Amino acid sequence: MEIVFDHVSKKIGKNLVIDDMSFKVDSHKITGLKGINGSGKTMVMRLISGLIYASSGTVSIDGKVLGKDIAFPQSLGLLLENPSFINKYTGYDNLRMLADIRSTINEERIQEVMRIVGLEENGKKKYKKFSLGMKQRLGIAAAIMERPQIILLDEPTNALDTDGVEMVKDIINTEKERGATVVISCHDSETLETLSDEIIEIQSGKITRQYMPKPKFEENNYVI
Amino acid sequence: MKFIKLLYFDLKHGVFKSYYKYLFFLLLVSLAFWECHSTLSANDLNNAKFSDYLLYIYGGAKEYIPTPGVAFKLPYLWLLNHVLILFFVLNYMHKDLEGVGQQIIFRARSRNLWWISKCFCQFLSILFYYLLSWLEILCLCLISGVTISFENSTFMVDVMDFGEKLLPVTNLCLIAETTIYPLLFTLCLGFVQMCLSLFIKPIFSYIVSVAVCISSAYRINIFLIGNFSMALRSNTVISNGVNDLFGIFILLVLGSVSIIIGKIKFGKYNILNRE
Repeated sequence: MEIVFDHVSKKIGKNLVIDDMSFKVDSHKITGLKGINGSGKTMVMRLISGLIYASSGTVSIDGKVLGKDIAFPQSLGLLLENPSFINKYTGYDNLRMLADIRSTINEERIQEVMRIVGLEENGKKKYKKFSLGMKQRLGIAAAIMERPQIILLDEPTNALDTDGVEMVKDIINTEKERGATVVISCHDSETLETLSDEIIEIQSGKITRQYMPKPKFEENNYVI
Repeated sequence: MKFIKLLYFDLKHGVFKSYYKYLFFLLLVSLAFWECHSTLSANDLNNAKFSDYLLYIYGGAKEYIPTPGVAFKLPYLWLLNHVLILFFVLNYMHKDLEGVGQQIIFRARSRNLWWISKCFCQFLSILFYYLLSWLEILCLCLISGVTISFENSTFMVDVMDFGEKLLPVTNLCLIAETTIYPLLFTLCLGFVQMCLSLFIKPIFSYIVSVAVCISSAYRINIFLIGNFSMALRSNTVISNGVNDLFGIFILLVLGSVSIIIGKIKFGKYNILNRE
């Protein structure tokens, strides 16, 4: 699915958080959002997800304008910063509760996703007893479980250990191979450059640079 | 189908999992009942009926006419009933919107369905508070040996000091005055509060609700809609009371308009986490 920002600005109260932003995210590609805290990465994610709409300009998904033609992208998986679930439920129950809304996946798929994110051994543990890393893993599981066409991952490596970061990289690459359009934001430039087909740098709500990261072998040659 | 699932989620998490709120509310209703019981006993009205207890708790107060030396008495049981219920239903929508509700709303792919589900949830939640409190008062009356009847007794004349202005009230009217009207008022103000909370912070919308209740107790005015919920200010109970039918009309219109404005506002509402 193609995502197009056309001269998008967004005001929250009196603050201009996104300033005349235009870019295109190609289908089946991984696009990285780079920028310091407060630069506007999360707002871009929220604009794509339909949780907020543009004050001016348009955000469109496959030609359909969000807030006008559609309220939300038709097939979306979303991980925002600090994912939140129901404390009294187990990780599995939380995923099942969310999956029940669309009823597009079965219990086996939920079990499979729990295994992919490394939570299969914590099936009976309540969410309130989850560590930060486990919460993050559950957030990632919720974002990918329904095999969505668009996956938005805001700081997916937050609170994860080295193994967790590798797991996230594997998941993102697998989702890309499946045909999903992935947008990620990450503090870690190295992880972002390794994963992304294209990187958009954002500063104070504006795009400052848009580029293709160098392929690995090219970088090695350069270093040598 | 999606709406049923959204409503099921809201009822489960917004109504039935808030059992501690209901317990607290029922505790206060029992305190109100015992206060009423002791007042009636003090006035030697041993023939008081179930309807008198409902009137005492939900009936409000007669019109206050500012007079030197006469202090304004706040109908605190009437006020407490409304402000407590409105407080209990205040936060669910916003709490859900900042948490797992964000995952739910984009899966439902409709802001309208989500809003309507929240309105249904609020309606059922308020209704549930009332049903529980009526049931509790009924049980306490049965335990205390109070006659279960809606017949008009001398209670209002003697305790509320209405004297000659009191009109003969039919049983059906008394049932409506002590149950339907307070319920309609809480529902209406609940929807106004819910709608307002999309424009201003939820706590400020709650302050507006409390202000409407207190102002309604202080003076009679059609804009102070709390008057329509007070049996002791109704034109079926006193000769110069507020018009009940007009009250129903105003409450229904205001509640419906709030739901519609809320739906329009929520269609463009920024779903963000509170900073």
